[in-house]
Amino acid sequence: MKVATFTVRATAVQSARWKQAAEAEGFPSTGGWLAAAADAYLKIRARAGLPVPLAWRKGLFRVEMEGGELVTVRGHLSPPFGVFAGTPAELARYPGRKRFTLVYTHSTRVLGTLASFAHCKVLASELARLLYRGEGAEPSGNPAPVLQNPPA
Amino acid sequence: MSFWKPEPTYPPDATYTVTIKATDGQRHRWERAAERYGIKSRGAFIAWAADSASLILDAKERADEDRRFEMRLWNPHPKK
Repeated sequence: MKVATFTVRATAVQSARWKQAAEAEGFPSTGGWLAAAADAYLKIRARAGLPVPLAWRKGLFRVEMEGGELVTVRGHLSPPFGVFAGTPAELARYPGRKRFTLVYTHSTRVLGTLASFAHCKVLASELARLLYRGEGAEPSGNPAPVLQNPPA
Repeated sequence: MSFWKPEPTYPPDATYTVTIKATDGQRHRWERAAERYGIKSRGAFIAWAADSASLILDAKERADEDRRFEMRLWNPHPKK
């Protein structure tokens, strides 16, 4: 098997800590521990970062707009999430729409306004994890939008 | 670099060196990950990833210990 060798720079504190961890976990060398720790980190990230794949379809849902008015909008649905083009202040009525709003359809509550439908899908996937963990309970009791400011 | 806040760059006082042997697969994996996380060298990525993994695993161990402690509080005399 072809093996590459390279060096990692460390502070005195890091060096001592890595050596201690390698010894505690039974690694013959600090380098071996570092390699295993780097791989472990990638596995943790891969497991934690996988979004729950939600299936989306077009449909109608209700949303409470900024003034408190309850309106029915056309957008994309993956219950209990809906996404419409526009902001909580007004629906988009022009081509090349630059704002999309994610809604929790059970309560008609706006969760956040983002720059694209793709961003809304990612946020919905992340929130779906919380819903599953909370056995369907809404992740937060705070009625304010999850995201206060839409990204530029 | 603080242990509690791993940073994806080498600190100026990183004067120690640790040699690592890696397979081709590991090398490619780390290179791709370093690029994805915006870290310029494989070495800096490994230092950052190792510190981050330690933090996460330590936190998990503490959480598991807290959970075991809570379980003992709820059920101090489990049936054998």
